[in-house]
Amino acid sequence: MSEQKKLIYNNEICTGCRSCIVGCSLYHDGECGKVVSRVAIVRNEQHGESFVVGCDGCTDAPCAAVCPTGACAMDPVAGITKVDANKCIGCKECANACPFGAINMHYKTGKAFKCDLCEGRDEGPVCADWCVSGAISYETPTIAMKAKRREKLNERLKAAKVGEEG
Amino acid sequence: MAIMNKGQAKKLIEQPDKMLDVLNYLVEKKIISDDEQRATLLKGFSKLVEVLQEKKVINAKAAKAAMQGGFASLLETISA
Amino acid sequence: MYGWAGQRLRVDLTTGEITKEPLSYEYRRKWIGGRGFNSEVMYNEVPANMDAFDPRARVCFGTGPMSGTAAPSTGRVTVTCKSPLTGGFGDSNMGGHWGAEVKYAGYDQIIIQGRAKHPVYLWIDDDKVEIRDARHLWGKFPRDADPMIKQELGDEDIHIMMIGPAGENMVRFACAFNDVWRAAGRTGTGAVIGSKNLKAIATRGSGTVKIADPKKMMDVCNRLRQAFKTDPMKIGLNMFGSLCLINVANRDGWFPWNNFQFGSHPLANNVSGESHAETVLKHREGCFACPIACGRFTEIRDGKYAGETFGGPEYEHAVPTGPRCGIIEDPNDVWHNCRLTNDYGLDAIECGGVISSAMEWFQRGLITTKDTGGLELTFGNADATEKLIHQIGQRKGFGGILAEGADRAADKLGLPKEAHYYTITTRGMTLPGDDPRGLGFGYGLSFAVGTRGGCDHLRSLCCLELSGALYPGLNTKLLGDESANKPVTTNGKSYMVYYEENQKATTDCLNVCCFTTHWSYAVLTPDQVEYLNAATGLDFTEEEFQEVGERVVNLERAYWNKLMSGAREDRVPERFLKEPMPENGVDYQTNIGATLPLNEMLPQYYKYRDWDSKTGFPTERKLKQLGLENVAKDLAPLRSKYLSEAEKKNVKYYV
Repeated sequence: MSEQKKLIYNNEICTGCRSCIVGCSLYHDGECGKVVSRVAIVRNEQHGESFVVGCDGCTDAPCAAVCPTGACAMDPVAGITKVDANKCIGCKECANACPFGAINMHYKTGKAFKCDLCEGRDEGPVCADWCVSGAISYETPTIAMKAKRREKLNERLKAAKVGEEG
Repeated sequence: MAIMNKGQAKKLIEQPDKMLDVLNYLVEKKIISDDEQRATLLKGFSKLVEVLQEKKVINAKAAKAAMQGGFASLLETISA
Repeated sequence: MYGWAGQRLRVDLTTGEITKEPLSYEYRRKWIGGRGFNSEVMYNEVPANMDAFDPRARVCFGTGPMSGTAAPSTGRVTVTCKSPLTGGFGDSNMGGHWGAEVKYAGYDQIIIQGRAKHPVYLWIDDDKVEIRDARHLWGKFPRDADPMIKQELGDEDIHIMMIGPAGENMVRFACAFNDVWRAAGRTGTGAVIGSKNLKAIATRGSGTVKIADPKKMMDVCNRLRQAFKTDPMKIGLNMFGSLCLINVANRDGWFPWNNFQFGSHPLANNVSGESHAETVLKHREGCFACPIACGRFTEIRDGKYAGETFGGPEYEHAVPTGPRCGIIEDPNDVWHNCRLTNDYGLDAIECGGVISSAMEWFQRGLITTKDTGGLELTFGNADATEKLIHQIGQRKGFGGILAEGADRAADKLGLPKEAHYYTITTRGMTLPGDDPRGLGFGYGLSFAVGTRGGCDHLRSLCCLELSGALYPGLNTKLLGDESANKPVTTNGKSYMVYYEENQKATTDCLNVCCFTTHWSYAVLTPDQVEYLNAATGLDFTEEEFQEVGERVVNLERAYWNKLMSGAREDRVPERFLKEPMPENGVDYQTNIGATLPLNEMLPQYYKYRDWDSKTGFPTERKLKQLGLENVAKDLAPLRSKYLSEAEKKNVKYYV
């Protein structure tokens, strides 16, 4: 099986715009709001820092491990856990177990809801698609890490060029 | 369809701001209605081209040319 | 209800009464929201002759039907009040995320009236609204008070509207913020909020915005966001912020140097977005739901201000207390001044304006160090500028006089009439960093007639003559004349300003960011109609959309007319009419010798507006066409009064 794509988060370049939130909520729930978004942004206004909170696509997902009914379970094709609302009893154990706070309880049903990688959307997850800065991207971890490694090399190359000119 | 002479067209072209005077002329000559003038003022030049095409004052080719060349092209087409 | 929340919140700080008023379909259809709601309240609830600081005066915060939705850039808020600076109609618009939060809490608008007995802040927690003690917050900079409120209320995710000490001290051009750094800069809204003893409005909204046709909404929002990915204006703004304009301004001669004596400077690049990005940019930031993200977060990294951080600056934030005051050699001086105007909560444009006016008075011997308390107000004196910003914010010393605004200050100091030439104001408000001899003749026309005090770039924001050239065919499509895309020509400008003013007004009613519709033209009027209808389930047409904007402009204009401000006051600072643009050592400057030919454009503009050219009042016919019969009644007896000899003699710089 080829490597599955995940949502990759780069907090250093997150602008805090929340385009991901409005896109996610509109796509899944047909209404717009933070409370029905499967991705969240945490900000410190004083210092201009932003942090993306979304599903990290854990392989040994704590959310699935703690679910008493099997409602939250890994979908091996998608490579991400999904919540079956019919089986969910709203106990909140998955939300508590997630190390990132990426699961919430829906205000209409009281049941858990989480990222499903926008199953069925041709262009892939809305959040990554609409992200202005690339702070959320949708790719395989191998590709993401390649870019990260080359970023370090490019920095060194840039610094070396400056030395030459000086 | 020619609805003004070249002299009139020249005068209009020479003005820096052409929209209102062209519209006033067209209303005066009963080519367009007050409502159509209002719609153009609100929506812009493309509305005028649309109205004139609908009324067959200009054909599709001339309409396309007007959307490229603006008033210069349009006034050329409707003058003789 | 789709789109709108369907109600407004009214808080009376004198009585403590808190009411929720439903907004009827007719009202929402006629005024749409945001600036439309606010202007309607202003006209009908704040008498034109009321003092701006009267407790009975209102200050309105308007969101729109699109606020909080997935349309591009939907977080903005319009703040409206009687301006203590101009004495006339005032409003300002701020970005950030507070607007979406207010909408999620369930309100389309907040109206504040009355005056609290001591400093308070408002806590809006969905439908629970509380007035809380703010005495411990009074005097604090927003960057300090914001985390204090969040800690006190036990939630760091809330959003807060706030004023700084300048607003508390009722500096006539104090501003309001949200999310600490996002300013509603102009016309002195912060001072009015401060006059009511209101420090902040903290808000938590756990609701959502209901969308009538989610699929259509998703289609149009997605289409627009894909377009933004390759949009040329978005790319420039995202990379370099609105400071991306500095080098363009310098080339085209609208860069404000030494109080607009010049339009360029060889060192302009020191404060460009490119330089900023290489030296002091810490983060790029985006307002709510924005596909552009032009916001900056700055960290000064060397020199005596090393370690200072702040949100911003924008182009219009950096140039007034920088180049307009002759400061350019050390950009850190400029960034530091930007932080100061944020800390005090001052309109940076007006603050830099009054200081540079004082510098020109000093240059021309109209004031001396006796008047300035020993400050050598020579252009380029960064130290004196810095000291003055502190004084203005605290209303102390010479700065305390400047805190009244340049025209009032000139009168208070007993300066000769000549001093008003150097204040560079229209209706008592100065202009932002856009010298109309360079940008551009359309802007210059709109400075004369703008409805929140003139000299204002944001009433028309006729970027068809700025970025319009990046969208080939757009000027033809809208105006019928592609040559209008150049700033230094009168071609098409009268119609351009008419069209753009209407467009901008409706954009402000929706409260989406005009950078998506007037700098970038990735979103055009038909797109806005599409997302408005998808969200609300209604059937607006493009004509109706534009007509709402026209209605709002005419209502605001009538407010000025009631104050006997009309055609005679439709002026632009004389410098731009009389002084041909000089050289300043930039050999590629394009507009040497230009002056603004206002009188070639203004008469035609009145015709587009159907305003009587003698009075500058909207005609009765126009007001009735827009459903403003009550306004027509109000203006009827005032038309001849405006033309009376007594009124003609009454020369006003501000009302």
